[in-house]
Amino acid sequence: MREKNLMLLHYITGLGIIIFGGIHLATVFLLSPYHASMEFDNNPFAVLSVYRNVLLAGSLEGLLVLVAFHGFNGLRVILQELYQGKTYTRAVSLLLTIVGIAVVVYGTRTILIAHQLAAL
Amino acid sequence: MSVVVNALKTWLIPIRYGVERWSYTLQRVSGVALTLYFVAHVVETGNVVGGAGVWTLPPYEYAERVWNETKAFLANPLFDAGLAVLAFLIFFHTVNGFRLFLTHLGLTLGKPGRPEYPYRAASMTVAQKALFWISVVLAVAALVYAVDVFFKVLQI
Repeated sequence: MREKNLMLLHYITGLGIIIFGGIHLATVFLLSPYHASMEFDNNPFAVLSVYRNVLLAGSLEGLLVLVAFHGFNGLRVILQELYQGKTYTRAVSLLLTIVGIAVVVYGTRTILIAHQLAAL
Repeated sequence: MSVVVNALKTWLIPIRYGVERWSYTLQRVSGVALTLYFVAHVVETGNVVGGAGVWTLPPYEYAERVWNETKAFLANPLFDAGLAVLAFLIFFHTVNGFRLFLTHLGLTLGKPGRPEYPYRAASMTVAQKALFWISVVLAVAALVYAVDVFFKVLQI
């Protein structure tokens, strides 16, 4: 993808993270006390309760994808400014894309299985 | 290698340049720190379903036991202090990032002009400076709130 489109996506994902990250922080800190939010499954904002709710689980998936893109694109920009070279540029992009996709796959697995687990 | 060292020096030592350099360095350092935390957080929350080896629906009791073990492992003042610092970084990066978003759209910027002594950056208008300091103030507030949540010192 061209650099200008990547940076446009960087800003769009940044704005998206303000919304989804706000929901995430609200469910963990504001809507219930932090230590209650860390419980496994015995109150409306416990860990599994959040994954049980399709909207909240979906917003976590959204946050996962947005932060993965924003974070790894940010790392790419920093590494790109640190040193330049064709092989280096390609290696950095490829490596960060692979790591980013791996993180999204692992996080999606957590969300999907936790959603099923919460239905038990 | 010296190219890399010089670049790192320019990024990481923001003194003598004014607030815009501080905002630049803090934005980058916080971004890298938050990305590393994000990866750790995805790994950590992976233990909600029983850890990295689980790719099909595990027994409920097993997942609960692994999560409680993870919580016991994370119940450590050092991790709590780290989360408090992350609260600072999240709020700084978010609000300062919003300032950069406005900058990118050309909003709140000053008019370009002839470079004259004392060479103040036309881009650092009152609105831009205010947004930078708001991000610092909110970050400190988030830090205080997090310290209260994790260490129960202030009982706000």
